[in-house]
Amino acid sequence: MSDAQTPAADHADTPVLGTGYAGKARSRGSFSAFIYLAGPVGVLLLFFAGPLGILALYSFQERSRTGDGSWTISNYVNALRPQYVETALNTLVIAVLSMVLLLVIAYPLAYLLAFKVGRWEVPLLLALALSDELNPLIRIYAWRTVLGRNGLVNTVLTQLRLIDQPLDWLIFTKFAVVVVLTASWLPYAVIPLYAAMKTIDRRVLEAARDLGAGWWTTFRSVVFPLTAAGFLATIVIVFIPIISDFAAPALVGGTSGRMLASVTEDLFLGRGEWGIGSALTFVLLAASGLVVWFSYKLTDLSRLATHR
Amino acid sequence: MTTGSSVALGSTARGRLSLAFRTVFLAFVGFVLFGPVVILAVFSLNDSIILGFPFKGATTSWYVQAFREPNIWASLWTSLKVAAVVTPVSLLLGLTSAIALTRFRFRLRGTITAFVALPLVIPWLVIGVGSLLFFSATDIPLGLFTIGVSHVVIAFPLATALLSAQLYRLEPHLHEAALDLGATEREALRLVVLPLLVPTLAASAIFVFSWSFNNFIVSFFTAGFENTFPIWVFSTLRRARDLPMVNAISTLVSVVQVIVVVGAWQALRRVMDRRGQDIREIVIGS
Repeated sequence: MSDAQTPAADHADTPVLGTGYAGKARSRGSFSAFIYLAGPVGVLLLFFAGPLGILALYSFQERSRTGDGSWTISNYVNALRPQYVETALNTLVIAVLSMVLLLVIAYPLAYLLAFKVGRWEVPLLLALALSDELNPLIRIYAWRTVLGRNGLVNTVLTQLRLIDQPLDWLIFTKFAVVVVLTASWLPYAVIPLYAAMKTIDRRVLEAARDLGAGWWTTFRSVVFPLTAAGFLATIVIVFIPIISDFAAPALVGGTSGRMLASVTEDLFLGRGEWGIGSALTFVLLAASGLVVWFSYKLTDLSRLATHR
Repeated sequence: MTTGSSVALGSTARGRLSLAFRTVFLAFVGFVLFGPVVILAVFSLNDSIILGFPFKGATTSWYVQAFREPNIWASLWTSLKVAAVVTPVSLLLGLTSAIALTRFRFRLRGTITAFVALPLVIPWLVIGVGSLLFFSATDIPLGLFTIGVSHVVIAFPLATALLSAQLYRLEPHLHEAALDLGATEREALRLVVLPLLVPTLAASAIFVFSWSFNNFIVSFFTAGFENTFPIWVFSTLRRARDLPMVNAISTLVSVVQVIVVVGAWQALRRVMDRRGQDIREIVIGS
């Protein structure tokens, strides 16, 4: 795209670099910025806002194989059917359990990475990034080797004669979904916490210790307050993909690990019930929006985005 | 550990204990992240159709079977093609939006910044489903184009975020100095700002390529009759007798991914070390 170069050629279009240029740039900046943004914003308006708009539209229309497209709110009423509500609650339980488990693991991990591992810091960070760059479906499916009937856990426990029968609740259950979701999203949970930890001056921790604070006091009155923003960022970043996860319940969830995404997929691709499907999708979106809004109220999200 | 014993232990002993605890914890995390895939790789050589213990003896027959399955290679080729187009397009859109949002002041800047970041907080399922409805309402046939477009929508905002973070960190004075020394705006961008952004662009490329190559849920809704590799894996997992073949090809693909990604990160790290830049900043930026 040649958009990128055209405005830059014009000497008069001065980007704002320091405060010195601000006055002049304010008037001309709009035009240059417009040319730079035409591509990205155009793509999003068409292929991002478009799909969301259609989804909103269809959620208020009669849309099924037999439906005609007249206006209705029956999709939202139908979305409150007991089977959907039950799945929604199941989704919430799984999401909350995974979140708790994630934070319990990610928080100390971020602390170790930031302060305790020395020269292993960068290799460990890159290992986190690497795990995320493996295929998620393969990572999820591979958990069958650990949790499956003939998997690692059952085999070890049987060999140690701790159990006679393989445990049957390890796989194709809610438990399996929680474990797998936690493993899948761990890298994303650690990074914002790690970023927040890195802003803590090591000398502050030393000062706390010199003043006689134990590890709990140090944590409660120094580390936690300074990383609270990272804590919230983690919740936002991880909760949204978890409540809408499709692959984990499909591959290791069985019937007790069913989540909303499976129902949505079935409504769209299986039963052709686009109206109810759209309404349910919007409920999911609203739930995500609520979490973002809540966190936004609690902290300054834009500050988190640039980590300053 | 009781309080009494902790007092009795010298500080070095306690240090050793906490070191041991730390090592166990990190090993646990390592297992959670990579253990299952490693075990899967071992079982891909197991002479049994059941995924599990005991190990019945080594065989390469599942690999031979996988090599003879044309759908695997067709789907891998599709995924590579899509990612190869999505990556440069996303980098270009990410770069132009990041420059505009960090280097210019204009009305609606805050709104547009939020709008460009929005796809990062909308569930991929919602984007996938919405795209399906959108493409069918606009009569755009599902296929490589629709997969590619929806991948660009989810991936380029990530590049925008990484590049904006780096542009904020860069010294604006360098750019300013270039202008003062007589560089045109285009020269300042090409000779000063872009070279400083190269490592971030490379890191963004790694992330965007993996997001596209690995994406399942968005492709699932926008692919029509096309098969990307994740879609092939998902549909094949439903057929029990083909599972050993999935184990084999999954192992192969994971090994290649590890080699490529580790190689790329190492190369990037070396370049950044030479320039005195810190790779941790890029990781945090994500």
